[in-house]
Amino acid sequence: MKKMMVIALALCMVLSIVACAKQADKTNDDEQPVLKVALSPDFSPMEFVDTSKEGQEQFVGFDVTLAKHIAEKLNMKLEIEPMSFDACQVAVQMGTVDLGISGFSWTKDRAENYLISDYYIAGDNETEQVIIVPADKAGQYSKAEDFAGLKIGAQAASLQEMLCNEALPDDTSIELFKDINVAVVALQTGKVDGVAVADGNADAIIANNQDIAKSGFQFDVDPKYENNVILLNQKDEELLKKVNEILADCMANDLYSGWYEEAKALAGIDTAKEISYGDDGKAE
Amino acid sequence: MIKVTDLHKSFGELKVLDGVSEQVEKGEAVSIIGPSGSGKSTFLRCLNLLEIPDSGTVEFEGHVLNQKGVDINLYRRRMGMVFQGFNVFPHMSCIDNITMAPVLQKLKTKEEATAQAEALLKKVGLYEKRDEHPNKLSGGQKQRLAIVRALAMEPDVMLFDEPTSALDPEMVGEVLNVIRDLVKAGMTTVIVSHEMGFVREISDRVLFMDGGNILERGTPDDIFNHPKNPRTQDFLSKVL
Amino acid sequence: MDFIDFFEKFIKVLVRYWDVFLIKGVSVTLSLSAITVFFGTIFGTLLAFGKMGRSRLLRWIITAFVEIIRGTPSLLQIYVGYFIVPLALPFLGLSTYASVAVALIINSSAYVSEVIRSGIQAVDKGQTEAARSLGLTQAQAMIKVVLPQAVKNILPALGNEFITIIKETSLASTFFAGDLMTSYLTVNGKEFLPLQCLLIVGIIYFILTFILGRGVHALERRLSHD
Repeated sequence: MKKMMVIALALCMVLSIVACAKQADKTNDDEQPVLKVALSPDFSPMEFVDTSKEGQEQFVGFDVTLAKHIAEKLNMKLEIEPMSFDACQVAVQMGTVDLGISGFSWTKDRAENYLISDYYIAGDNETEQVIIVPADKAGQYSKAEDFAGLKIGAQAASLQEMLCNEALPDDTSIELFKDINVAVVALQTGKVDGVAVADGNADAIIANNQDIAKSGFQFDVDPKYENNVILLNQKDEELLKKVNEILADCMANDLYSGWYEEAKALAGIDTAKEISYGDDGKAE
Repeated sequence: MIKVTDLHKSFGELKVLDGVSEQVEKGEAVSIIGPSGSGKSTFLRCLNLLEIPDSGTVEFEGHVLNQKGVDINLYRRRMGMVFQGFNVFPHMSCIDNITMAPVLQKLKTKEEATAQAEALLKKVGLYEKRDEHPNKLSGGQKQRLAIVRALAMEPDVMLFDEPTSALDPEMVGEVLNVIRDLVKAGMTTVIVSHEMGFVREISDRVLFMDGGNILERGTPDDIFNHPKNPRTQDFLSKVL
Repeated sequence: MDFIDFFEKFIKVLVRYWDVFLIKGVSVTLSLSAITVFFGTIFGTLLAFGKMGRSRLLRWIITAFVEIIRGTPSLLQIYVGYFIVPLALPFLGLSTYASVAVALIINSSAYVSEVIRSGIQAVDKGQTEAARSLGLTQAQAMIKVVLPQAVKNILPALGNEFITIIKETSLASTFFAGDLMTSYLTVNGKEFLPLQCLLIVGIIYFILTFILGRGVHALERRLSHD
């Protein structure tokens, strides 16, 4: 009786797992090795989802273009594994994926736990860091001191958090959020007075939220932080070398700004069209 | 027919049976009386091994029941049991309550079992309730159903564990009547009861239990009119 | 906040992405929940019987398992399902959907096992005794007498577990498994209209759980009737 139960349990377990397992993941059929890249596609224009498409096709944005380029140069087949920002780092650490390309910036802690590639430049996305505020107060700020005594939101563990801590006056209180979208809601509902974001994101956010505007203040970004990096597992020294060569090549051929404009267009043109010809036909 | 020898049973620290030995003959009606907590019910439940004694033996027609390799279910079929709390099956109609066990154990076909169940229900005046669920029955009716459910197995012995204790007073009589008829028909019966008048009337023998043992045994006349043990005297003086 | 503007954006997102929410998101959320509850119930039942069984070792293992699952965040379990399970069983080639489903099934089986165990144990012990005294075996008594009565206690609780699981599947969005919350992440990641997107998703979750809740309620009333 007991044995039968154990066998039944094991059998059901295996059956159900097999039933759930999709055969689609068989990528070994063609000779090309697979390059797995983790990214968090909820961050236009760096990486986001084209909801009209399915499967690997649906992932678009600057980082996706970069990932495709790297895979092509390595003569590998790209496979994007979408997951949350936190999970991307776990995936690199566990060796589940080869690369994490999700708008990561260089930090000391990351450098201790991962191999970090040379910089790549996503247009002005990371080089310019701003604070967004309610549109009706946009004119009131121009320098860091103007935020004294206010509450400024930033994504936890982000470049923006670090910048806020470094640049804003001591009596500014920095409110941390799990993701930038929550911070935007906090701004719209008056929980915070401003939110620190990358300039590219600020544009995307403002495009759809006319009650928000850039404050006029811009962070002075230390070059060390200003660009994006790719995360690799600490064991992958070989791959790091190749990736850095590819990045250097991209830089030399000035590929980045073109990609960024493309990504922005993909994310923005769309929005811009919607804004100028709203559903009621009225230009907004 | 039933013979127990030196039964011991404890629940944790509490010693409930302390070396009980007794024998029940075929056709006998034996009643067990005694204060609550004296081990009466546990003793009765040991007879069909609903409680497993810690030591000692329970024999049924010369076969030791509490040993390895005995299919107790075969013996339980031959020992009907009626509980204080009725324990009729609420999810089955009255007729299904009765026919389920014999049919499941392939002792009877469905048709045979149904015919027998209908006869039994008629006998205890519940025929018109045959298709009702037990939640439509009164306590007395439930207990009568429980009795015929046990009888449908055609047992050699009936064990009654305080069959009227959970009943409203006006329903006690109808249940006792059924038991009385059984005894009159010659059914071997062991009954734990607080109904002293009834015990006195129907019993061939009465056992007085206290402190996990049988302190006195005899005919109803011996026990009720000439009790020898001071604890029996004390108990009877309180309940009579 | 400008409410007219808010509402206009709300409608805009809904008109443009209704299929992403209502078709893709809802179908994945519902299928994931159904698979989870189905297998969760099977494994939960086995666990419940193991825990009521005679083997002390098995009982101990199951108790430890249930305590661990109930005592750790579901998010951690999803991570384990996604990262550790494929690592331990690479030959299965689990998809994202499947590995998330495995994690949810493991989680749900722990809760369901307690639902089933308490449902069975809530049946009066006298019922088993009466059945055994009629010569039924332990298994017969369980199947014929105890389980039919336990089902009354268990079914509504399972319905509630289904409702809980529907909300729990939102964790699948950690790996963009395609559920409703993934719809939120992808649409919002492009439109940056978090409140509107969340509101849409919230309304859909509410409708799903509300309908199911009514169903469970009706079932409960029918069961207590007979």
